[in-house]
Amino acid sequence: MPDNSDFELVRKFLDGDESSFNRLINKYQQKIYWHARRMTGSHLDADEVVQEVLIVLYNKLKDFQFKSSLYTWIYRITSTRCINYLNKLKLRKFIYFDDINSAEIGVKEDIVNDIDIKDKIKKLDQFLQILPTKQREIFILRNIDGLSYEEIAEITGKSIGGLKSNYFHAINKISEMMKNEFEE
Amino acid sequence: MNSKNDLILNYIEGKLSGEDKNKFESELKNSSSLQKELAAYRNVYNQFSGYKEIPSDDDYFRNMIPRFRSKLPGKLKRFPLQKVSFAAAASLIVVMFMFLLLNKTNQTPNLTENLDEHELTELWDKFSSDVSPSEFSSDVAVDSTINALYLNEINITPEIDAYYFADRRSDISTIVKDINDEEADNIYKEIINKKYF
Repeated sequence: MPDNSDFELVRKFLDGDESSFNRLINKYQQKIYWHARRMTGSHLDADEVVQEVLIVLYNKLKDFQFKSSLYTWIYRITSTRCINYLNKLKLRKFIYFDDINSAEIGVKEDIVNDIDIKDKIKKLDQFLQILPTKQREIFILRNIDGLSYEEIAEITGKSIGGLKSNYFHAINKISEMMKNEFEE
Repeated sequence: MNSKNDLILNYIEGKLSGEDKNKFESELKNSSSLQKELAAYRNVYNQFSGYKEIPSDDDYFRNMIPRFRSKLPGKLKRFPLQKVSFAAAASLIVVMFMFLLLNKTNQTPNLTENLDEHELTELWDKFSSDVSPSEFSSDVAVDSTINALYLNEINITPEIDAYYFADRRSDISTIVKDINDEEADNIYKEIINKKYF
C-alpha cells in the first residue's frame, strides 16, 4: 500500500529539501542494514553495502515513479547491491586467494554487543551463507522480514511459484544443516 | 513447491483455518513422517525468529547519515583545491623547463673546470704531444689544451701546413695566437659542443 508520508518526503527532497532525505533514511536504515547484514553475513560488509545503497538512493530518488511502495523499491536496491557486492567479493577472493576485508577503517567490528546474541546470529549467518545467493535473498525476505510473496515478486522480479519453490528449498537445506549441527 | 509443502508452511505460519486446518491436523496424527517434517521446519522458523529484532548499537545508526553525507562529492570542497594544485604544478614544470632550456642554449659547460689532475693529463695526452705533463699547471694546461683542441679540430697535416705557410713567416700557432678571447671562446664552445653534446 502506498505510504503517503514517504511520497511526501520524496517530493520534498526532489524540491531541494535535504532534511527530507535524512528523514527517509532514518525510517528505513534499520531495514537496509539488517537486510545487508543477513545477506553478507558480516557487519563490515553490510556497512559497505549500506553506504552504497544510500548513495544510490540519493542519486536515484528522482527516478522513483511512485508506482510501487518506496520500501519495496528500497529493498530492491538493497538486494541488488548486496548481490553485486557478494559477486565482487567472490571475484576478489578468487583473484587474491585470500580473505579480503576492504571495510572502512574506524568502523566498529560489530554493532551487536551482547555476546549470547552475537553467537546466536553468527550461527544463523553460517546457515544463511551456505544457501545460494538467490535462495538466501528469498529466505530472508520471506522468513525474517516477513514480506508476502507478492512483495518479494515485486522486489526480485520472479514469479510467485518460483519464489515458493526457492523458499521451500532454502528451508529444507537449512533444516538439514540444523539437523547435522545438533547430531554433531 | 507441491501442495503438501505448501500446507506445512501455511500451517506453521498460521494461515490454515477451518476445514483445511482440521484435515491437516488429522493427517498429522496418523503420519510420523509428516510429524518429523513439521518439526524440522518449525525448528527453522523458531531459530530464525531470534534473528528479527536484534538489540544493537544505536550510535551506528545515528552516525549512518553523517557518514554518508561526508562521502557525498564535495561540490565546493575538493575540486577547487585540486585545480589549483594542478595549475601550480603545471606552471612549475613549464618554468623549470624554460629555465633549463635557456641555460642549455646560453651556457656551454667548461669541460676542464671539474677535471682532476689525472683526467687533465689524460686529456692532454690525447690532444697534445709537444708539452710534457710535468709542465702542467692549471692555466697553462687549459690554454694548451685549447690550442691542442683547435689544432686537432682543424686537422692540419704537414702537407696543408706546407701549402698554407710556405713562406715560414707564420704558422698555425701564430694564427691561433691572433684569435682574440671572444673568438677563442666561441670556437672552443663550438668544438666542445660538436664533440661532446
